[in-house]
Amino acid sequence: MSSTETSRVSRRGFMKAAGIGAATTALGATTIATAQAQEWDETADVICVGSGGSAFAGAVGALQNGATVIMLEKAPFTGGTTAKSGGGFWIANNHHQAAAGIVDNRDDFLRYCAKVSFPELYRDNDSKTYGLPEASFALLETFYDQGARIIKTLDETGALPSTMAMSWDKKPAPDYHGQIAENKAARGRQTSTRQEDGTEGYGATMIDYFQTYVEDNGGLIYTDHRVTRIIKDETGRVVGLEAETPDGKRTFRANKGVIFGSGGFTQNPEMRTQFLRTPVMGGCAVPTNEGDLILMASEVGVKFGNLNEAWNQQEILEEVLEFSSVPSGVFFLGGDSMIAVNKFGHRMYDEKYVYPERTRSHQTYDQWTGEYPNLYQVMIFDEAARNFGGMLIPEPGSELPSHIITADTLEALEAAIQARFDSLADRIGTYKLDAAFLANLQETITRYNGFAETGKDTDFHRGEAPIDAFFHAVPVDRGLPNPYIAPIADTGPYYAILLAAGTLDTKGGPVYNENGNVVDIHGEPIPGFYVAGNAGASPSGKSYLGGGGTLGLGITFGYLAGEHAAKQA
Amino acid sequence: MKLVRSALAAGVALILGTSAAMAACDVAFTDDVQSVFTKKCVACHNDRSPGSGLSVQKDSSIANLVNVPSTELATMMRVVPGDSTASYLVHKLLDTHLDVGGSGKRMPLSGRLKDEEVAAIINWIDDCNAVAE
Repeated sequence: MSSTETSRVSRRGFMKAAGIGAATTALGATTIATAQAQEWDETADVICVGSGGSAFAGAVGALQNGATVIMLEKAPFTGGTTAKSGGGFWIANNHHQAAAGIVDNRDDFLRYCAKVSFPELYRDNDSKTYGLPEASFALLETFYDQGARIIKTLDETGALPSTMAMSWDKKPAPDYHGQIAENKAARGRQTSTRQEDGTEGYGATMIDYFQTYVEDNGGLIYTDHRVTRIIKDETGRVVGLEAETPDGKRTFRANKGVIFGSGGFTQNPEMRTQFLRTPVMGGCAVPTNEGDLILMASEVGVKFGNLNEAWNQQEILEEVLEFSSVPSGVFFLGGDSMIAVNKFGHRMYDEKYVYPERTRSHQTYDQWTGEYPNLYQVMIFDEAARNFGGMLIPEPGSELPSHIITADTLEALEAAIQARFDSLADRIGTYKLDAAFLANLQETITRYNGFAETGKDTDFHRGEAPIDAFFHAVPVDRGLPNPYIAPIADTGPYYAILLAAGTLDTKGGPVYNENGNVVDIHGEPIPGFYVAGNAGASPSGKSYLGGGGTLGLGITFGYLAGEHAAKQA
Repeated sequence: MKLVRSALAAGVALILGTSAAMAACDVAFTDDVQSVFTKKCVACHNDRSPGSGLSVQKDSSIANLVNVPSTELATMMRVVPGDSTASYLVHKLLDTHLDVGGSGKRMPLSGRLKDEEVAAIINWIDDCNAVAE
């Protein structure tokens, strides 16, 4: 939407959009003598906060173990960020792999996870934890040991029917870092929701199944319920929650536990600045992912972890400036005769590699200029790339969206790109292409076109990683040695899109143990307090292990939390 | 002066016509239709983050759709009461939006609506006029 257009929103929606109410909300924790001494508006064994995949998995885990459940969703609708996602969930050694005859060895899995999640700690000669802290390694072990059981249970009970995610070339999906020596199984861990006709579903399909299951099994789901306070008793046990609702403040007693699956803090600009290393501008997370849990949990005395990490994802700069919560991020860069360059006109990575790793490039800092030289990037492609297609590439002959810059020559393109940056100065400050941008860009294209001739990108290995092919079908055969490296034409028109750093959501928060139980600053579990998904400190550390790495962990530890809570006295 | 009066009259008629159409679409709007929006669309098109200027959140959807020009193709309304084939929304769902001069990707970006879900939306749009009559 351009800045001159308006959306016709309801009054309540407008109030929320304007942040009215949020600023006055006192998020935190309240201590009471005992749960019995308190008057409560409603009671259930387990209260789940949020309604994305992780919260629903918690609810299902609790229901399947005999507990009663209430779910509290802050937004006026259910689904969270899961509802707008592809809905994949990455689970090792799963029953679909077994059915396909794929062996997914435990030690290989742990070695891979340790290597990419904590590369700075990884020690290949440490057979016990591969150099990781024991608590971190234990979570990865639990992920392997329990994940497969849980999705098989969800599949068999109809709570979440699943199937193996397949590539466009009919192969099981590879992991995001299948080229790394530690990755041995590499394919088949990514699963999808199975639709009624047997095809792969999406995040909205997952929510549909989960919600139906929870409601059919007696769970209550309340939208427009923003949890504002965690209620604990004098022993430190979490015994309930307070929420702002359309009917005013209401309290909910949790006989056995509360599970937060309420998402991260991508939509909280202050927390983004305070916690993240990357200059992140927004992302896919729904608008309600504002880090409420972090403020509440601070008053409970939890241990926090991984707050400086996110499920990184590039965004179209103008889109994320318009709405911090974007409909979709830049999962991959389409086109074959296409490159991405920084303000100096230099390439930075394999443009076909996965979104989280491309996004890390935005973090690069130059001590000499005191700048992030890759802060904003420029995707450049030619007319022929439009026949190849792919994400961000406009169909041949179609109207160009306003974020696509076009010019007949590279000289004119440089000027148009600078003009576009200038037009955004009120929101991003002065951002100038380097004086050598054009000359460097021409050199970059010459060098890149040489790679197109040989089929070998000796700078960044474009097209060589298994995941490169997974994300990019080859609809046009130009007879090139490497279909993902096509030469950029000598003549225009040329096109450009400005890219910024964003997230799917953040992945830091309260640290939890193998049961999804939040731990205190001493590492001791806090009775009655659970977390899963992007609301907590992700066991995956710095990495994005594979497609569905977010929901795979969220569902596993959400379900474990529900299961564990349900079994409490 | 006569011209001004005519223009005013035309404007009033347009407003009344629009109001009548809105009311008719409001009556024809069923829970089935909002349910589709809520399950499949609202995560990206909500009041706080109205992607492409569109919120289909409950209580916002009709006002954002009926007789509102598309941001991708200003010559087409998102929903034309009584005429689903002239409604850009339907073309975006059916992947025929490029054929009518639109742009962008088919919606939803993640996933597809079931046939019955698309049918519910088409029936709602086509029924708007029937209700008005």
